[in-house]
Amino acid sequence: MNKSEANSSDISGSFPPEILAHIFSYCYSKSIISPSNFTRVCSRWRSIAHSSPELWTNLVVELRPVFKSDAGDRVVECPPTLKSEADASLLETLIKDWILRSSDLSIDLTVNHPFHFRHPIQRELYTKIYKNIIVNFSYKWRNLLLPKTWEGHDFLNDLTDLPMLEELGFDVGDCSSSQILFPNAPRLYKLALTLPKSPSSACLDKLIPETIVDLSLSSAPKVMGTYHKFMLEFLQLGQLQHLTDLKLDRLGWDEARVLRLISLPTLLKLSIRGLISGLENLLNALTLPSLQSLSLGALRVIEGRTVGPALIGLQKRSHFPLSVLRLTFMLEEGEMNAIGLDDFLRFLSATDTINELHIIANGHTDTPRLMEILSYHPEKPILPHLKIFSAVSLSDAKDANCSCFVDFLSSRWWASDSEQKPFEVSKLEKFHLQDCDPSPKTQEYLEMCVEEGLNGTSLKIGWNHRIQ
Amino acid sequence: MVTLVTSDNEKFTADKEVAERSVLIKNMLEDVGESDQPIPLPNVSSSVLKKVLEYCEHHRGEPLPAADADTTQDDTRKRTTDISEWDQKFITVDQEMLFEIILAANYLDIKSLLDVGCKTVANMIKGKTPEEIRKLFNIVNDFTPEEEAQIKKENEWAEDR
Repeated sequence: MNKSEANSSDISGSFPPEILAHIFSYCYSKSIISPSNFTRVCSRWRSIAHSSPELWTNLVVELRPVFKSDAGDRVVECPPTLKSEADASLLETLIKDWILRSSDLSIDLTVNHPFHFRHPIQRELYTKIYKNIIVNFSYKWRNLLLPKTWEGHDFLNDLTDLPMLEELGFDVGDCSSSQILFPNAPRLYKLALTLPKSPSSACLDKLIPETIVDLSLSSAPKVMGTYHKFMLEFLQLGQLQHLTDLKLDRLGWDEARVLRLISLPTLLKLSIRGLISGLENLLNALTLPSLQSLSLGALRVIEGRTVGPALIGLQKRSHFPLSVLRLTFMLEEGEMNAIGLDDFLRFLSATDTINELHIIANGHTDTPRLMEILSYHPEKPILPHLKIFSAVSLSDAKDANCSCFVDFLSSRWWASDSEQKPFEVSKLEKFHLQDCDPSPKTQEYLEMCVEEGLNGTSLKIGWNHRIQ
Repeated sequence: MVTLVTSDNEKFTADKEVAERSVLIKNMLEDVGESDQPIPLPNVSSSVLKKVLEYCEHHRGEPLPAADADTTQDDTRKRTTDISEWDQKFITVDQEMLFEIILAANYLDIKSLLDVGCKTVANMIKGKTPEEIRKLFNIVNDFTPEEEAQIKKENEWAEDR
């Protein structure tokens, strides 16, 4: 016990309720499985907690094994399971009590529940509870994130209004009907749909209201994507014309297909992760004149297919003001190659607005060549506004004398702010290597930088070794 | 300079800029206008005011939070218990002093200090069982039988499943 934990008489009793509520607001539990410990200390604390609505605005019903720290050891806390109607009734009461304590504040509800691990009776009990809760308290929800394995679209017809709803996430499931009546949700702007199968465009049309500006689509885990036909129809939806954020995860198809050209004029942020063929098709189809942030991730590379020319084409058509670029498993060598380094250089040469670059590799990137490309050379300036650089799993350790990271750093950072800017280039502000394997020369240089106290001044450096 | 008088009748002088990190003192000074009159602080002892002024002196010149900051629902959802290194050292005091600082920060209306104190207590509560919390703060378990029954019901759901 440290000094501040020394025992004394209970002067917390002299705290007015608002101070105790303020303390509780920093340590409340969101979980129905483990209610906040301070509600079980004494009558006064419990009463103050129960009459502080802000402590009850975030509810997570996690009905799967959760890991809970216990005295430093990690132990599994088993999830509760429903065995009877009485159990179901108790759970429903506990959830209702929680919701009522939030008074007139809206609630974020997250339900994590792997139904496929459960017996059909339990599945039925849980579904009944959630439908009751979601429908009866439809005026309370601000964020509603439903289980990824539960076909949530089938409750939409039971709801007419979701007046406070801003974010909604659910599994579209086996949806082929166009009879869905999407509830009135005037504030809804963010929608995350899980797609185990390719839904019809008629179904999607109903499921994506016009108010949506932030849309995520993802396939169910271990299912490799949606069909080309789905994407063809999806891209024609009028709702996409209002989007500012679009995230497509685990989408893709093997065949070489051509999608129709489409412009998304308001899109600021695009994130796509999937099969290379899908990425290539999409990048060839899109025109994104406002794009500021692009994230590309390769799930599986198909021999002979690369994304580089499509990426260059996207830039040529769009002339976007891109400031953030994140590439995941895109710059690997050999069979894994999704973007050749020559194409990458061509793309960067034509995109001089980038100020943040994040590269996540899996150890197969030609690091010396890549860092040579990224270094600043006054005679062929590239990335003149780069301020933040991070990399995961890049290695220059094959050559003990390799100094590619050092050369990169010294081309983009100089010691004193008072000196005249040596190059026509922005000064690097953050340099971070994670799980990388730097050569001894690079390590020595980075250690020197840290020892000399550069961190926290004008350059923030972070690095750690790959965990073997 | 501003003169402050504590509950045990000790006088402290502080720069106006430092003293005015307390919204209470700032308002009092605005109300009385230019005056050399000492300001009485009957709810703050000299040992606590010394600590409070040390905090205000260290944070002199930093922007003050807006009057309605941190009160929205969004802010409550995003709250963390992170405390800066200096604040952490400053608040490493015995429990009685910690609680007195919190009460003084509340009375003097110094929001950032109140937050540091409340976060520290929250960090002491985190991860502890109700019994450990009672022991730590010398709190008596005074639940009524009805409350005990309700707690038991909540626990039945959470445990042995």
